[in-house]
Amino acid sequence: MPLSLRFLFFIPLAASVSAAEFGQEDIAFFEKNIRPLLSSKCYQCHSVAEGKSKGGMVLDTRVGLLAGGNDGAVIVPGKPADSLLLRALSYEDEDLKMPPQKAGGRLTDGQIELMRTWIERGAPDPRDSPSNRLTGLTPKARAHWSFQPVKNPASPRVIDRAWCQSPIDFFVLAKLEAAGLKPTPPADPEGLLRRMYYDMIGLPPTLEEVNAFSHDYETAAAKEQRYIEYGRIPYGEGAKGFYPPRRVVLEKWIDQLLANPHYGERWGRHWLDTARYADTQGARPKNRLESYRYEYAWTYRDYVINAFNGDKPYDQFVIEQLAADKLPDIKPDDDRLAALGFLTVGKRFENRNDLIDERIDTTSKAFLGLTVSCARCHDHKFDPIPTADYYALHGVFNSIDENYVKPLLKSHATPAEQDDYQKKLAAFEADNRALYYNLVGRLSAELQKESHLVLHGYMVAFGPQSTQAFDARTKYGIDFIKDVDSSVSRREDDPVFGPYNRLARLLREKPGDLATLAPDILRKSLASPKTNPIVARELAPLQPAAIDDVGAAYAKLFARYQQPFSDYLADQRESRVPTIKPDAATVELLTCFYPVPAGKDIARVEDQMRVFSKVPMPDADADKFLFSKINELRITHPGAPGAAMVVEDIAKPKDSHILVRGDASRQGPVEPRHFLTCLSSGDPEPFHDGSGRYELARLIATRDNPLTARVAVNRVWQGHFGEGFVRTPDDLGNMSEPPSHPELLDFLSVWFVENGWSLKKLHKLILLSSTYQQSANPALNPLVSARTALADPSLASLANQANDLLRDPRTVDPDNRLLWRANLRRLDFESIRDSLILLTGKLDPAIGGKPVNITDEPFSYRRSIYGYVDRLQLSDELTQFDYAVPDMANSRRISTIVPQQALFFLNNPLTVDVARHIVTRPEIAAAQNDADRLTAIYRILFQRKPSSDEMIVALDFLKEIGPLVPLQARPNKPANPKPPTPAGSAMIPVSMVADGMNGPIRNTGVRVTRAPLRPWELLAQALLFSNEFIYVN
Amino acid sequence: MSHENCSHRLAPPLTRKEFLKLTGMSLGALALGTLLTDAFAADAPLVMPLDLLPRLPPLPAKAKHVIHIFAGGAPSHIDTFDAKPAMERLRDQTVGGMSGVIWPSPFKFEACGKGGVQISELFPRLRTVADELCVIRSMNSEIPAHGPASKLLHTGSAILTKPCLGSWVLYGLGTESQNLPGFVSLGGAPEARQAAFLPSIYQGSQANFRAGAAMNKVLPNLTSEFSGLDVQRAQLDLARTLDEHHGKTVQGDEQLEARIGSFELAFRMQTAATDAFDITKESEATRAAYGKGDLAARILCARRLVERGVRFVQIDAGGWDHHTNLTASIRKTADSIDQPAAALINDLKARGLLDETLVIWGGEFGRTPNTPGRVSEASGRDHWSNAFCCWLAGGGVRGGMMHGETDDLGREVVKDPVHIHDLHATILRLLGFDHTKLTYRYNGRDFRLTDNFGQIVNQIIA
Repeated sequence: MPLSLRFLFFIPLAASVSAAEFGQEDIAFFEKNIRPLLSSKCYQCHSVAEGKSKGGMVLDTRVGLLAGGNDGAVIVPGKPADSLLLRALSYEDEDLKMPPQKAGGRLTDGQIELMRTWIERGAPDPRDSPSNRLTGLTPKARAHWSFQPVKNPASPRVIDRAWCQSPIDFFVLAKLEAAGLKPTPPADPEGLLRRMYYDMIGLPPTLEEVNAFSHDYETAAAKEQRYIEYGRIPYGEGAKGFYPPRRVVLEKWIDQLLANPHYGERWGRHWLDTARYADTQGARPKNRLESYRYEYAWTYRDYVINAFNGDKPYDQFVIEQLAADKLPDIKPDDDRLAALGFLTVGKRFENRNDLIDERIDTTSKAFLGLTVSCARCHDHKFDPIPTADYYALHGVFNSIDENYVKPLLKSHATPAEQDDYQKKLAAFEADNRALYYNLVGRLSAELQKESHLVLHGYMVAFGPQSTQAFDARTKYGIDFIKDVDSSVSRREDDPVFGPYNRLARLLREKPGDLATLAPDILRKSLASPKTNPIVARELAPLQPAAIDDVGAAYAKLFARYQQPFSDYLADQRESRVPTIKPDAATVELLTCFYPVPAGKDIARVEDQMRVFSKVPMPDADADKFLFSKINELRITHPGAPGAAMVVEDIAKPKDSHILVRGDASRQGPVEPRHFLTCLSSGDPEPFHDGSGRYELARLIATRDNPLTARVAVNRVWQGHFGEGFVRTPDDLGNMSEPPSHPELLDFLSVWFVENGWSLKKLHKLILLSSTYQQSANPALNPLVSARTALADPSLASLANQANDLLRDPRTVDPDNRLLWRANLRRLDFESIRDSLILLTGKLDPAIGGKPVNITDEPFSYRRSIYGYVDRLQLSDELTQFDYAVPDMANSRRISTIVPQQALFFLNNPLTVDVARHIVTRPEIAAAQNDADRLTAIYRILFQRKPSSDEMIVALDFLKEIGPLVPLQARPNKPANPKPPTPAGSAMIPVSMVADGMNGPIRNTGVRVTRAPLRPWELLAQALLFSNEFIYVN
Repeated sequence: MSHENCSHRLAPPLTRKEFLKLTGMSLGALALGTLLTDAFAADAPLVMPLDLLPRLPPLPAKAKHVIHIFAGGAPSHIDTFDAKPAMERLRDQTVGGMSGVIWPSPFKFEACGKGGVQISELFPRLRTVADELCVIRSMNSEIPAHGPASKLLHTGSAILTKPCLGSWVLYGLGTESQNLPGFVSLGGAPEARQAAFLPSIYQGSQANFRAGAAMNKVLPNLTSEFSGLDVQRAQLDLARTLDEHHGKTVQGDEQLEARIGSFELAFRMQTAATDAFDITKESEATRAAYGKGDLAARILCARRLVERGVRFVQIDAGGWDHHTNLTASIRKTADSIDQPAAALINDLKARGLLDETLVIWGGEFGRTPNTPGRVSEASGRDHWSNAFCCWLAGGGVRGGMMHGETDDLGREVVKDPVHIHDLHATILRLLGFDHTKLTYRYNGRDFRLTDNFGQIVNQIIA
């Protein structure tokens, strides 16, 4: 469809009077008097062009003007007195004064009079732009900054050049200086290191690390100060420059952090928020043979962690997640295939269009920062994304499918574990197979025995209602057939049941004439070459008077075939070749109710799923299969291999119809598969390579795409500063706020691409900036401290003058958007829990693996990123600590403070576990007195010594608490020392069990002992409550 | 050690500053005055502060609390509150487009109270409070499948993950008691309490409440298994002193102060919530009035919560999916709710709380007038969403009235249709909100409970 038409496609032609009906004179009156007024006084808040429709009204189209707004029509042509517009203009109504004061206030009497005359003349209006709807398909929306090419801006001029250690700093300082603000001095080394550790790996440094870093850093700082005193300048300005010693130290430590494998866990977690990662479908599975849990979502999570750790270039990262299977060098067990989990770990829906929408939504938000899904039902209201573009992508995601068989990835399990898993799996598979043959045997026998009633039941599922038919259905429990449209019931050319079905239709249409018409119809039907010859022979002599006569004939036929069926079933079950091979007609008859595949063809669970899912069966029977056991086994057994949750292109990729208003029953024209128009030069090229995923991926992951690098850089910045340049990381479209530092965002985007899309290099660039290293404490900002100093009463007169000159950053920029200091940040859920786990001394540092339960006892000591996430029943603990809802891309976490978080610290056994562990550590056991003991605890928790004040308060606490705490010793025995060992698994330790079909994963192991805490433990626990523990400053 | 002895050691009162600073992100802008007045400019979408402090709604309203009793499974309107005497003419007949035969309700209806509200014999006790009930008989939706239909009822969307009614209400009004969660869900599916893209402070707290259940099983982490309140008080005092010291010497910040306050609230919540959920503190007479069983206990508990300032209580009272054996089974289901619901209304009224508490009962859709097969003991009714019913009481709703009508078979609404979106719009209006203005900006657009729909049903507002 040509571009212009495509844009017009949905537009309702609502104008009742076309512009042509007005005379020249009327039009001239409008153009001379009215249009200028509307455009200067009203469009600002009410126009498609401005993208504003306050009060639900736009006035820059005739349609919009006539449609009015939330309060109804605003003009009644010909009747000024009835027109709301005039009332508003007149300022008579206290509650309705237009234009409002801030938009220029009341019009002059003359202007209002012109309006009155205009309405009297019938409101002539030649503006025939047909839409009164907000639309992003405007030049203004297309001109939005983020759709423009990224330019490499020149470094701005600054006054305090010595502050600038990194190109970043010039951009930040220029804005600060323009606002009359100053940066805050660097954080102290302890605080800085803690910030860098949490930012980069999500864990705090150890005391030894803090000491080593502080020593290096302070030595370097002293040296640097001496250089500066000698008149040399950082950054090699001519001969006097030098490479700052602090930078040498920082680089060393930053490189260590970047090489630390926990880095991938920390930054992988950020990406998983964007990729709405979870381990469950979040909806009932499509059929009872599928599982609610994803067995292999974790392979995608591990792919992400490894991608970050390996510093996979971001453009590759993008391409692999959309189209790893299409890469020229991909191998069958390639780890990169797991990247496709990006498309498949999302929420599932019954309706395929919803599933496709979920994928379009996540893809566009994650990589492009665009809300393309808004265009599913109408053109995007704010961004230049027509509905046609949505359906261009719909075609891409509708041309992919998931196979039951998934590529297995290399396993790191021991051979013993793998054997054990294979044995268990094989046992389940054998059971499933046996169950199937039993089911088919039983149901077929029943159906064969009384097929006339059953056939009656079949028919009833679709045809006329009768109580007799209802009884038949009830008796044979064949309600389930209802869903199977292609089953025997309807098909009139079915080889076995066709003749019956034709008569059934006759009964439906001409019930009175059945007896007279039936013989002829039956004869014709039997003569059809498709009809099974055995059936034809059997029914040929029949002269049916009623439909059940035919059913009875079938019953007789099937009765004769009971024994052959049993024999056939037995042969197939054993995959053996029978002595007398049944001919094709016989096999057709024997398998007319249920497929009877050979045992070897349904040996593997994937084959079973494929075959069984097409077989109609009562729920009670479907429930007997062990698929959920297999699912549990795969998600918990250490020997179970991982598999990639891949998609593949379907054999014949197809373009999608545009769906009018998103309604699947209203198909519009077909839209070729292609990329977004607003990001293409000219008309986008149609995709040709399969579904088009690979082409799509490459069009996203290119330096020419104005959004991809900006979106990525914005998120990285957010990860280090708490907020991005744009605070809506998944939406950089017209509805987002302007970036705080547009030039810096562009500079970094260019830099990022030029440095090979390397995230690690980008981190390093940011961490080495003075901007990043500032203290978070506003009191240390020179402007704030100067004001504080002037607060001394003796300086009152001076203060009055100085305060006018000294701008207060706390009021000029309370949100710290200009970055005059670092942001104080509460740790996120993962960092809090991981820090606690670390303090129990039991942190399991292993990278990757199957999911564990991270909230319930018995506790797992794996890092939080390995937590099993059920998107439908998100643990309360996660929610209370502002975990990202994994139903759609959510790259920014909100940080709230609620009492439930405090209750966690007060009462959750994990903090008890920590407190008990701390006091048993050797350095505390070795301490000679209370002061040493307290100092040791402070070093463990806060990597510093307590001050004397803190010492006094803490020791007082011990005195106070003594009498309140029972002195008896804790029982030595843990509450449940024996982890459950499922039968037959003595060899392989089981660390996880799945709780039923849909329940959580549970860890095996030991719960925290229930016994009162003792004084030192209480002290350690109380220190965990403190702000110092969960804030990064 | 005994907890009763330590009342003198309970938390010092929160300072006003701490109180104001509690929870949420926009910590700077929380002067109460602005919350109650300036936040609501005439034609702008409301800009709600993201916290839990109580605030007045922009429009005059009576309802301050909501108890939503969700009758999941879809109650048969024809057997409960939508009397269809004319159906008798078609008994046992086959009607075009429907399987089986028409089956008039086996239950007798009666016009009750001054308003003559038709109530079936299934609810002898609700009949006695008929003049408090506003029965809507013209509910309708497009979805006759439990999963999506329940989602639509709770969140206004059958497909997408959106905030539920309770979360919107909490977002709009905050909550009166900071010692208790503002939105408590007493059982039910996750969508009945999900905040979705609203900040998590608006999520319903799941309380696994059963009569006699241990408190730390009811609300996670609510009580300690390791130390008593007096010990915890000392711990909090220590942490508070250290935090204040830290604030003075290292860095002061509103967030940090707010967090100190949150520990005090948490400490109070341990006692306050334990108390609120302890229905044994009710008199024998009251407990007898509500009756026995977990549902009765939860409904009594709901009253205790509302009385203590909880904004929204969600109760799961399902079991209405009577495809077969309707006659016998619906009796049991109805019986489980009849007594406690009637007791709740009486109790709220006696305590002067009914005016400010909106009680809602209803399911996700209704059921067919026909039964598959023949009429027998095994008869039941299938799903039907073109018409169904619900009732409201208290909270500024007109009592003793019926709104809307269906045809003779209860199949189609013939007068005053009320879609689920309309019900949502009306509930929000009863609480003082224009549903088109209570919005939240997420991913580039303003979302609201009623999406692009919803008409307020003014006729039922007193």
